[in-house]
Amino acid sequence: MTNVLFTLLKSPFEINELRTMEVLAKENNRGVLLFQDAVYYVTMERFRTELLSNKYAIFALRDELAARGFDNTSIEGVEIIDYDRAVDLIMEEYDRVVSL
Amino acid sequence: MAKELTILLNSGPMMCMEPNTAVKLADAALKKGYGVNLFCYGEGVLSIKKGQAPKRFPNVGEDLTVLMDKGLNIAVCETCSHARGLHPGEEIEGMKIGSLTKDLVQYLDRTHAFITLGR
Repeated sequence: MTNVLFTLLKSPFEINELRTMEVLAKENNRGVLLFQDAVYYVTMERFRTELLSNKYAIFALRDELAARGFDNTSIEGVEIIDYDRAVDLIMEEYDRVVSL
Repeated sequence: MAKELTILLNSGPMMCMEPNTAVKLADAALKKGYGVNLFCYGEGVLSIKKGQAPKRFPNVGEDLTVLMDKGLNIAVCETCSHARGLHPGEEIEGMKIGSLTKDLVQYLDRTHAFITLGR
């Protein structure tokens, strides 16, 4: 089984990638790394709940949350990370990175 | 041989945050000892223009120069550059107006991970 990491930049209100991710992820282990406005996937409960119910490991950049005025210390089911950790995910912990 | 990360940047400086995200990601990867390649396409090519002087935004050209000194490889699409009036000699020294089919392909040939940042 492959570990697939999706990277998102855009808000789910601009383009909702959940369906595309489901098609691409298939049966693989999946994670999602949220940059920029994509952090709205975890500040909005309905998107966060859908990600969690579909077994995604969720990673959100601390700076991006803070820049948008959100709590950047704790969100249930979400690992809040810095860029060092993002590099670890991309380079070491996942087999494939898919940018959407 | 260090693993390499290649970043494809499709958005330009000042208008979008993608160049700043690219800078932060590249910086973190270089600090961890990875090789990092940045290929700019579309509006992203303007990131290497000499003489950027934004008043209220990060200076992407300066940031990339610092990272280049730390080992970042940078090339941009020649066709995209010409289309936007960026001609040889107007790029920051050490950065390359290159080729999608040559430079990006070379980066991808040796890269471990590839990420696209763009609108």
